[in-house]
Amino acid sequence: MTVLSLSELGFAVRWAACGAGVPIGLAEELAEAAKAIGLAGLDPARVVSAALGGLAAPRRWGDLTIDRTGEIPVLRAGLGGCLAAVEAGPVAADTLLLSQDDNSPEIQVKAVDHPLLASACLAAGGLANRTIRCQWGGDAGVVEVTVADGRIVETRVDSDTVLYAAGPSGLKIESRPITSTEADGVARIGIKGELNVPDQSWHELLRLASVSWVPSNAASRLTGAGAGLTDTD
Amino acid sequence: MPMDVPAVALRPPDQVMRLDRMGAMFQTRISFMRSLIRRMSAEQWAFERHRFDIDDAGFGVAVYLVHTPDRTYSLIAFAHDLAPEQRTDRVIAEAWDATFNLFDGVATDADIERLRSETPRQEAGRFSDTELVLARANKSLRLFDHVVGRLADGHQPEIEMLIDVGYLMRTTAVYGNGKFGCADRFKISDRPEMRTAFQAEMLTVYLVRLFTVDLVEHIARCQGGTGAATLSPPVRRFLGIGNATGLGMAPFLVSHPVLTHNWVVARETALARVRAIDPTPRSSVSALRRLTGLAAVYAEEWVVEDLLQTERIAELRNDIGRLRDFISTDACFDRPAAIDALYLWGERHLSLEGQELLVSILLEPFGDQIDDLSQSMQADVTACWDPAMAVGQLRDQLLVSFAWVLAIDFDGPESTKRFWYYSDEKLEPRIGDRTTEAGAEHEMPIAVARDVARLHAALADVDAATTVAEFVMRSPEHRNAIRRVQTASKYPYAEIRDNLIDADCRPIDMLRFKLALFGAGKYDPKSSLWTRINLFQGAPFPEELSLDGVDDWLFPTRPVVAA
Repeated sequence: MTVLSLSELGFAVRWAACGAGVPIGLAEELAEAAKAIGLAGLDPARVVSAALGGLAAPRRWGDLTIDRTGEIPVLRAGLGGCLAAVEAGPVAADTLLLSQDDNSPEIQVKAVDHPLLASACLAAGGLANRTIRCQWGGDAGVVEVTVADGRIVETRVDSDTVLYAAGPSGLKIESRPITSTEADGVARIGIKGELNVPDQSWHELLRLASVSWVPSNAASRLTGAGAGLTDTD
Repeated sequence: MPMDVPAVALRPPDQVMRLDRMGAMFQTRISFMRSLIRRMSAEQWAFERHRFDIDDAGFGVAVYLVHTPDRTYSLIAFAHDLAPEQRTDRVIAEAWDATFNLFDGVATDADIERLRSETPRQEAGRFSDTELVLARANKSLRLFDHVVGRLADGHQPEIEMLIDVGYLMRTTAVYGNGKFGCADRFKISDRPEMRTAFQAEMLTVYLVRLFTVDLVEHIARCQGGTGAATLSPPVRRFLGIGNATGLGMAPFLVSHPVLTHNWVVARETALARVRAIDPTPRSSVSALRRLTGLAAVYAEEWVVEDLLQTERIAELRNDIGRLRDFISTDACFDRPAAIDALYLWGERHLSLEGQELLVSILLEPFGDQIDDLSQSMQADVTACWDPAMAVGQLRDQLLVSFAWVLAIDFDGPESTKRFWYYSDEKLEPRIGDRTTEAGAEHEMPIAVARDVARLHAALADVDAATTVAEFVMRSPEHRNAIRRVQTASKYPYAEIRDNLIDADCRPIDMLRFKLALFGAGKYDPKSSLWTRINLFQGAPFPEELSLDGVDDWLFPTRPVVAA
């Protein structure tokens, strides 16, 4: 296991996302979502690497639609198919933020590739003073993730396989005002600040981030930083 | 932190947040180093050389303890033998004369043994959340060897050499906030002594300065025996810590807009409060005259090789002469709102360096009015995001905070010539030419002006009632630019109001701005991307923290040594 700081996890996720072609605004939110996953004792590098590795290249961003014809808004891919959590998570968070006047807004995500990541985006999405419950799963098991005040506060899971599962999953999101008891509970959790991430996951995330580093050459080495190579004053 | 509204308006962002002015700023009394020294003095921090296992040649390990009212920190210093050809200030360096950690608490022998194998490797090492800072430094060979030789012979160093260099070692990186496994900032940000930004880093540098002085005196003693001298207090106090600063510092300002705003608004509020003081206290008049005299000496001793900076210093010297003449008569202060009038006179008659130096001088005598502002120089939030906002309102906000970007022709090659990136060689930040070099597709998100201009164009045909959420769902490539517009609307000093990818952009202006907030001096540009500076020059050493004048080191000048 590698013990990471939140800062270096965020840096690696942001640049891995940029290397995968994710717009910087979404990459920033992905970094915050990864921190929320890590602080919950889960493996952020594993889910982020899988999500970024699964993005089609080239990808058409912004191909989402919200169907409001039913009782509950449904977020789905514009042309059908599976939504990327990297994009669907922040959009779902924005949709809930828009519905703050509604005491208990809900939203369904029709099919998303990494529901854990999408759920974590709700933790990172600025939804203060809300408790949000995200559910997904099927025959293999059900996951219920509860998010409040920027944190994943509870994870009920039948199996790790379902928790980290990739592939089209329907995601049900319910939101309501946080109770004072729940808020106190979040405050008591605090931030432990120690992220233990399996070495293999971390190295894969770093490999993805390294796509964004520009190869050095003799010319850039000499001139790119604006300073010489020896300093013997 | 809420602030009162001074009677004099703050200088507007369009005036303050321009690179040419940012690149002309100086230390003020609310700079981070200054507030740290005041806290050390007020709270009577105790310093202890806990361990000094340094051999006769100056290599080994030393540990310094700092006892604050509530806790103890340790500086762990490793001094190494370094071949001259390995001595580079660049990020791509692999070895250094000395490497350091600021440790949270009292480091045990086991901690030191663990760090002995990690700290010298710097970026290649792994650290834990007991380490708050990771740093390294290289000797100024000229001055280090000179000082050792002179002390060993029983003499003080040559004053001209001291003025020429000003430090025994210069740091080449001071990493905090979670780098390489070190503690994240949130771990310490609720501690009173660490609440203001960069206090752990500043404390580290202060302790490194202490170590360098102990190191030269130790080596001199080993060489000269009982005849060796120690540094006289004025000479020692004149020695700061150098720093070599490159591009890595600049993106921080772009990625921390609210923090940048808070820093600037504290500084500008300080200036506005002082400009509003009326009548001018007589004691302040004499202080302003004395400080201007010191500034004249400081500017005379500020000599660099860089041609542009040399021209600016020459102009600054003339400015100070004009300022001295202007404030020499009582008539200057025997008028209503004299300090405000003095500041406005400076705007009309002085260069940008002269104007910003005047700001530093004006703030200095009024600590009781402004020192509280240093506590607001931190941020608990990073940016704003309001998806419920209507596009019409967003457009209005853009036109208020970013009207300046609409005057830039981003179709011209010069306006997008540069790109900033991380090199795969130790992630060294570099700048490239978009027209001739590969890698622009991986540029850092520095081009705020260009991105906001693109957002403005994209919003042109969008219905004003559309929400940001609806717009950005279809156009996620604008999410970051929208966030910056919304943030700048609430925090008007959050953005540098210049195009950072323009061919004529001088990144060194960003470096100087941030370094001035740190409290640095003697800016010594080595190119438009790189500068050397001096930190803590003139600052009191631990045993001087209880003396009068502990806070009087705005303009460190030639030490006077008794014959």
